[in-house]
Amino acid sequence: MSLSVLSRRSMLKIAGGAMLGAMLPGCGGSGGSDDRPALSLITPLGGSKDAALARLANQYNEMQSKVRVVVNPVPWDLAHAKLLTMIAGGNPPDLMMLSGMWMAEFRAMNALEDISPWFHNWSGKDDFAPLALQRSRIATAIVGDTVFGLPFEVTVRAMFYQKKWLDELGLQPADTREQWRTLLEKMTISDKNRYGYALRGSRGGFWSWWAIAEEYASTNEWFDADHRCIINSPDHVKGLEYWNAIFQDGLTPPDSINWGYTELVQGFWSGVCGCIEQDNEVVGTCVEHGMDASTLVTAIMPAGPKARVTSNDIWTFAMSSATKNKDAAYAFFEWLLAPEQAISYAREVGVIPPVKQGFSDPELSSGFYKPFMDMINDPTMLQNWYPNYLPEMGEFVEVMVTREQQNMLLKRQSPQETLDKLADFIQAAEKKYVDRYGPDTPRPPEKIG
Amino acid sequence: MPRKSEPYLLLAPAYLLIGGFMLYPMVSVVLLSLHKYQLTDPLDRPFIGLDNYRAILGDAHFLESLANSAVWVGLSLAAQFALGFALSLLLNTTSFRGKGLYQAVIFTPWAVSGFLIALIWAWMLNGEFGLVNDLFLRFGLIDTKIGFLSNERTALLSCVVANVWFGITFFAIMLYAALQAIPASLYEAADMDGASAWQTFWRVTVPMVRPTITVTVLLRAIWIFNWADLIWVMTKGGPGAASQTLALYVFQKAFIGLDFGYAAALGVTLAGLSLAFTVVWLRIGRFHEEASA
Repeated sequence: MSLSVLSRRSMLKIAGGAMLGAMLPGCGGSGGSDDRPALSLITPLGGSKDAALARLANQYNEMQSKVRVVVNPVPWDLAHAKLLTMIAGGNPPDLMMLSGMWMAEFRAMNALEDISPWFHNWSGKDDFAPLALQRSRIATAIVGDTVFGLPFEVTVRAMFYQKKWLDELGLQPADTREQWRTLLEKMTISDKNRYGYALRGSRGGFWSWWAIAEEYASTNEWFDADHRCIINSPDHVKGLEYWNAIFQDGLTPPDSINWGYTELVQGFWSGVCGCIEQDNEVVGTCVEHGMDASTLVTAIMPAGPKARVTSNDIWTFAMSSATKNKDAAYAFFEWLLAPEQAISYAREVGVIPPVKQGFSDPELSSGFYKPFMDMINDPTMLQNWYPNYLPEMGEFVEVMVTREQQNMLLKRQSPQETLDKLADFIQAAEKKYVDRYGPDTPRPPEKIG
Repeated sequence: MPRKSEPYLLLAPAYLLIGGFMLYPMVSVVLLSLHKYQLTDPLDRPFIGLDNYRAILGDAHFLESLANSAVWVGLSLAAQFALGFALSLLLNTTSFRGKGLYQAVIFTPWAVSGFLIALIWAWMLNGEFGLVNDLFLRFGLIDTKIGFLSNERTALLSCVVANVWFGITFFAIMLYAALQAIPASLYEAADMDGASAWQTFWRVTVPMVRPTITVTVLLRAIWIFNWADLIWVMTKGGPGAASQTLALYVFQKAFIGLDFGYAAALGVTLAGLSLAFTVVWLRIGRFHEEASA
């Protein structure tokens, strides 16, 4: 036997041995000491919310032996791309916490399980608040009788003010946009690095100015009866002009053109800006950073010339169509969304739960949270609405709007040109939808249920 | 085992891996670029020939992104190379106590994730709360804060600065290794011939490290061209599209616009541009002459 042959054979043996060795730990390692099938859950809710969800999942894991829920938090900025990659790559998570803006996309990709059979046979469905179900319909998590997602958390916007600034100036929270503009002017002392408003010029700014456009137009419609896009109407343009003027007139930090959620909230609690409009969860963030009743006041949103708008949205729980343990997954939904767990979660993180009992919960309806609950429960306010049935809405909000609104803030284009471009994009998406599915598209509901 | 088949058997894993992990995705992307493939419309995937490529030619965002990419790659690469080379020369010619520790520290940025680097720099350059503005104000260099990331003239340059900080290390590591491989006898001969420091640098050092320079510049140029994470985290391509590069545009089209067909065509174009640059650069760098010498 020659040395060279021996060495080649030895090499093969070594390689084979190494491969076997590498494979063995994989066989035993996946299950660990807990051999229950795992249900992976992707959540982009962030910080304390993900932690609260993980705590509830652990509680669930301890009380039953069939399955274990594994919570995987993903940063909000990366969540959309991460979920898309997982779905497109054929390896979706079992459970997903989804923004209303993503539902149509993921449904169109056949990524979500139709959970109607479980939902309609579940007595717990009657606990859902009408508003939570309505927002789920707007988000297309519920389409007719078909259910793709269950409401988990209702969000609503209100105004946050620096109370000491108001007291110094002898001002009260503004009731109208006209008063609000005056208030911003009085609060702004740029030499002292004090600005009236924390404007969201980057991602998510749409949710700020769209409400103002609706206030000026007194409608939450996006299309007329003939499916022509109306978001660039003269009244909508006036609303956007109002928002643009806040930036151009220096009532917000110049850097705010690049501000997203994090910078925005920090701009407020750090004392640079006098007010922001934000969801109820930001109350917790402000309190964490030392704000209390002597420094913080929350109020309902000011009314525009023609309407007062309540900007609501919903987070929904969905199940992947590729999930193997569908019964177990739905059983987890049932437990998690029962009033006891839903309200416990909501109290812990300061949000509005999707169940009726939560809407009258004293803890969630008092103090800083009162204006939020007032806005949710007031049927006279105009409720914002988006055509979430259009799969292009994700790109519209995430890319188109941010780019075009920044071009406007940079004075590269006027508010009219900005809305014209956005209307063209959304008009093309609507036409595609109507061509395919017919003219019977979802429309804004008449009143909150 | 028959001896004839043995070499093929041994090579098979490598071919399978290359085929599976490189060839298949490349062919898939090219095929994808010839189809309409909107991820939200997965059942309607007709073959559309070169339509996606024709659309690119009329896409104003493509041209703007390409121009930004040229600035992004050109400035980043030039500064990284110049500073990296200078650093490697300093390390090669100086000796001091704790040099090993010093080397380890300055090479650290290369080990940090791009996402983290982008976050750190985004906060440092923040126009309201950033460290850089604070230092400039304290030292009296500016009167009012600068919105580095919110100004259309400085947004891309700010990303370049972060990229330079990150990439200097790469050139320093590679060129330092190449410098250490130059035989001392060459410097001794140059010294005996009365060569000046400048002549020694141009006639001995540069020719000896030229193959390394050619390869490292090529690699880094392609990496920077394809690198979207840093800009995405720092500016999201904004304000407007002031810092949107081609790689970022591909990412946005694919993972936000969900238009995988168009994104694939953009990706193939990006790969084509990288390939063209590679061919030109290797010719300029006379890499083949060196390799065969």
